[in-house]
Amino acid sequence: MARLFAILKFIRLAVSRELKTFESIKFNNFFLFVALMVYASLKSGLEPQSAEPLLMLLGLLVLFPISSDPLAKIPPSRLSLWPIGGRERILLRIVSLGLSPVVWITVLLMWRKAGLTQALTFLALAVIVQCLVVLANRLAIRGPRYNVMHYVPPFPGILGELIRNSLREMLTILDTYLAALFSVGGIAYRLLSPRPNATAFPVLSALVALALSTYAQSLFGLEFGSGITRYRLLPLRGWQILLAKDIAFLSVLTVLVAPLDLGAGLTSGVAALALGHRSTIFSRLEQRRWRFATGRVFMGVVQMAACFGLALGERSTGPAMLVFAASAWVGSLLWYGRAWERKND
Amino acid sequence: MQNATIYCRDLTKRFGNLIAVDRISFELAGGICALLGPNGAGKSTLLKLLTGLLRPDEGTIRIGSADVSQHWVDAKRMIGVVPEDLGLLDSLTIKEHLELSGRVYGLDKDQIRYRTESLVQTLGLREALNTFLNKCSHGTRKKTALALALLHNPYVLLLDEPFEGADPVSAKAIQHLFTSMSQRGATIFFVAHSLSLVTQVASQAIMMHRGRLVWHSPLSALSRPLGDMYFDLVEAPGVEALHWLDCSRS
Repeated sequence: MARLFAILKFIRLAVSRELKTFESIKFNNFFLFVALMVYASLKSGLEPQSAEPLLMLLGLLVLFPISSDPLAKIPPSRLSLWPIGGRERILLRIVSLGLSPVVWITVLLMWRKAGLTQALTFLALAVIVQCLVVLANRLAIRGPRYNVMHYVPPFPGILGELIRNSLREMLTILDTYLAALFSVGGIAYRLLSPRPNATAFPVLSALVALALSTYAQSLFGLEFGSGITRYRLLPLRGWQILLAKDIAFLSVLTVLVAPLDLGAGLTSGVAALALGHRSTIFSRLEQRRWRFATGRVFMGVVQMAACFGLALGERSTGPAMLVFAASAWVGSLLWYGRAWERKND
Repeated sequence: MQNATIYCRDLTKRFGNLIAVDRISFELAGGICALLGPNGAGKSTLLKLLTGLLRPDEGTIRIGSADVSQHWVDAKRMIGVVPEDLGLLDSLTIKEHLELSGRVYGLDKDQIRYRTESLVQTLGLREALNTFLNKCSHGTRKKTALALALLHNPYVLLLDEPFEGADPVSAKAIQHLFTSMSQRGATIFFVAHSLSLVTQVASQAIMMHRGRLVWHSPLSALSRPLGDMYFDLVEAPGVEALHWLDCSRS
């Protein structure tokens, strides 16, 4: 037990240091959106009922342990070297959840809104999901055919494998699954509602694009170090490398918004990309797998405004808004592609 | 073979107040050259400058006729690189890496297939071919990086510690590979720490210390053994302070 306490003490120190620095103040655009909705409701003296389903959705996704996993502070290769047994490792994983501020905030919020029983149920679910994820990782190691990443299809052309790589990267970011939940919700509404409101679909498409937009600020976020080195060694222009990233992003977006409102969704998506290229090239926003992407607040607000504004504009003006957004995207691709080439250090 | 030359003149790179590479000039045209020096001498920085991963503050670098700063795409087509961090994408398998590299360097499907097969066989990558790189051992990752460097048949090979982490069989294969390539006119320039390996493999060596080029010579022309010349520059630390490392613990 002394060993476990020593490890937990270190984790607590690492978490508290992270909280004290600005590194912890990073935002996901969707979280920002929900926070703004809650703020607007409270300011107008109303209960933020519209935000509640979105908060529940976030609570569900926060169950994924790696979105709030303090144990990740210790490199796996180091943790595996320490003389601690299997049971101790499981205990460590469960107890370390208690050091996560995200888990505590979520539990307290649920206790306040939904009651103690629901809050404890959430905590129990968090522990169960922790165990399932560990089992899934072991399965992926022992049986490579169970690893779904193998089934991501190849793309043609010289950028094909780069696009495939980027698609796989997107599948390890929780934002993709949040966007998928919105898409599935929208499809269910279209199919199951007796008279679905047509104006809902551009908004839903914009929500899907918003859910992905934070990742658009850091397209290389999972690849700092070795991955970036490989990109820099390839005889490709900067715009080609950015294009591979963007094609992966737009492929995911297209699949998710096609059943809702393709025009509005693509307009929002290319706008998010056009705006996000700047952060992608100039800000070192490192991302971690199986977490929500994090980005800059100001850029997030701008992306949010662009996603909704242009999506709704597309509904009233037709393809002109998509053409405008696409033109901005092409310009951004070429401009920041050059910036990538010049930014050699 | 004109394309298989490395030329640099007055190469300088600073990081704040630290001059990592200090007015280095040399030319290599064919052969196998080892870059030696203690940790922190600037070897990896020099290699990154030659590969275009870093931009020099001063000086010129040419690979063949291509100025690395101006015509970097052309320069990159002529070089094969094993960088310090290996430059691998964790979300691709070994096979997919080779496919990516082949397509980007303009090889057709048959060439990619044929060359992949021969590299996999020579470097012993068959078992791990469909494994994602983040699940591979360090040695396998290193061999993959080497395969990527060789796939497009470069004129110049730039390698950061290619033998580090290689088992004896792979190390022998890499040695033969270097010899074969240099006999066909390629230039091979690698960072190494093992002096015995350098004397077996390389025909010439460059010694760096504190960012400067101390000497550049064919190994056959050295006046004293390589090890003596190395330790002239770098003093091995004593281990007296670690007297507590004792198996007979109380």
